Formats: sequence, C-alpha cells, structure tokens
Amino acid sequence: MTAHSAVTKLRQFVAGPVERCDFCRARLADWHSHLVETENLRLVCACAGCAAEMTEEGLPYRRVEPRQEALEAFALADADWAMLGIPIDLAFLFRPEAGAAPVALFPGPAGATRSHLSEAVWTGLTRKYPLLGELEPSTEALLVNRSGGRRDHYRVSADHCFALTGLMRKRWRGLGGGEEAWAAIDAYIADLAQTSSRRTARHA
Amino acid sequence: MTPRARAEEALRRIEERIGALDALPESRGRDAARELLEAVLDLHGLALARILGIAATSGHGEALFDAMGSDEQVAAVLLLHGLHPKMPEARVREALKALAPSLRAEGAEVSLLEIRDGVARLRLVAPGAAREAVAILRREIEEAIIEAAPDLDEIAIRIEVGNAQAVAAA
Repeated sequence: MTAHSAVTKLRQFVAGPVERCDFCRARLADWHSHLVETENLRLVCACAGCAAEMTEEGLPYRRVEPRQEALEAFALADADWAMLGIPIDLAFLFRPEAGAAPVALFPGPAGATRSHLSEAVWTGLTRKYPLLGELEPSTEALLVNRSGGRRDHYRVSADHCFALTGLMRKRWRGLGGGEEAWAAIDAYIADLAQTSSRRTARHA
Repeated sequence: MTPRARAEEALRRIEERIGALDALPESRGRDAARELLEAVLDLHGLALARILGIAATSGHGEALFDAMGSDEQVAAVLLLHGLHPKMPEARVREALKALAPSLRAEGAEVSLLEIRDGVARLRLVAPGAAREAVAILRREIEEAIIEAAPDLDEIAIRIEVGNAQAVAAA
C-alpha cells in the first residue's frame, strides 16, 4: 500500500466501471464493438479502429453482430439435451470454426464453463437441427434455457452468452447457483423475450 | 496527532472504506455512495482549481506551486483532483529515472512511450529474464508510477523478453 494508493482507488471508485478497448486501451462508449477470439472463445471489447484491424484476414478474431431471435417452434428434445451432459439447466451451443472442437458454454461460479462435445454428437445434432449448422461460427449460439421447467430457445450473438454468464458469476452461491443467480437469469431471459425478433418456422 | 499523521490516517481510512464498498455487489447504497463522493469531490475540485488560479496570478505562482506540489499532504489532494502543478509525464519520467539503477542491475530497462487519454504506455525490456523476475519488475514499476502519478487511469506495460513479447495492462 503506497501513500497514494488511496488516491488511485478513490478516483477509480468515483469514475465507476470504465470499459476500455482490450487492444489499445482507448476508453469505450456504452455501446461498442465486440469480437470473439476464436481459439479460446473469449469475448473482447474493441474500439472501431481495432475492431476493423483485428478482424482482417488471418487473425483469430471475428466481429460479433448483435442478434437476438426467439425460436418459438424450435425444441431440443430431452434425450438430445441429456446427451450434452450439461450439469445445469442452461447452456449456449456454439458452432465451431472449421476443424475445431464443438463447444457448449454454461454459467458457473467462475464465469463461463466450456464443455467440449464430441464430433459425433455435434454431427448428429446438426443433422437433426439444421439451425446449428447455420449459426455464424464462434460468434453466435443456440441458447437453451430449461430452468424452472421452461423450454426457451434463442439464437443469440456471443455477447449475450458472456453477459449472462457474467451476471450469474457475480451472484452464484453454492453448488447450484442459488436463487439470486437464477432470478437474474429469469430477468435477462424475460428481457430477451420482450426485445427479440421471432422465428416461428420449424427447425426440427 | 500531527496534521501529517491525520492526513495519512484519512487516506488509510478512505482506502479501507473503498475496499469494503467495492466488495459489495452492485446496489443502490453503493451507487448512492459513489454519487455523493463524486459531488463532494467536484465541489472541492472546483474550489481548489480556483485557489490555484488565484495563486497563479499572485506573482509568486511558480514558487507557490513548487511548495504545494512537494508538500506531502497537499500533493495527495491535488493528485486526487488532477490538479498537481507538475504534469503526469514529468512525474512518471522522474519516477522511472529513480528506478533505472535497480532495473539495470537486473539487466532490464523501461521507457515511457506516451501518456494519452489517462493511459501511460511503457516498454519494459528484460532480455532473458525469467517469468517471476519479470513479474517482480513489472510490479515495482507499477507501484512507482502509481505513487508518482495516481492521477493516471491506467498503466499499460509492453514486455519484451528477447524474442517473446506480451502486452500486459495493469
């Protein structure tokens, strides 16, 4: 603790959370671009300049286009969900980059937990649910919410996945997450339900 | 308690309370505390800026600013409000200069690239240094800069250890 560390802390506390470009540290406005780092499926925040630069040919970043679509006629069968082996009632299924392992992300006390799926399972799923093959690699996911007996399915951009897992991480208690965490999920999904476009065509 | 001790005690209590508030989840209480602090600091910051302005026109400005900037108690508050008479760049360079001999002893060298938008960008060259040694050096540099320029928002140090390069932000 230096003599001036109190000054730093006080300044930071008063300024509140300030988001900065993960590449050049420029201050970001509330609305800013997101990229997914494709090798580790990590979300990064970027200013306009870095977003353009870092998504050039050959670099492992993809731009996230905001998307939220309620899939009203879509239903992931119980048996298929069980096959995924996700320990809680909510997950994001991502379409992998060519040659990469398919990944499902689900919330946990440490943030987003990544669960690798076998090629066989993934191939079977995309055959049965063509939507999965239509997702933008790394930057879009099928959100499956089965908490409280619900069967919600959304096609969302990756930022929703990390926003939701971030929300839960802050409130996670005990093994299962606890009431507060799941209440936060309910609120997030309710908001999604209100603001999403709707797709009513069947996908099964 | 001497005024100096009281000032140090106040800083210590502030740091402690901020730590406690930070540990709370987002809440109306915390937001209210933040807003109140912001308003009180604004009020004092504006008055301090006026005081410095009046001092500047007094004809003794230079000497006064030197005295204020080097007075431990006053400097902390000026830094808090971004009103320190010496620019952050000058203070950072001074701090790095003081650090140079101990870095050189480790075969390392640090340079300030620029300060922009509240972010100080530095380059640390430590050829062949082990990861733990680099981490210690980085910590030393960050602490020295925070001490000299707590009015900066961020310290971004680019580390060069021979062939490998890593961007590390504090």
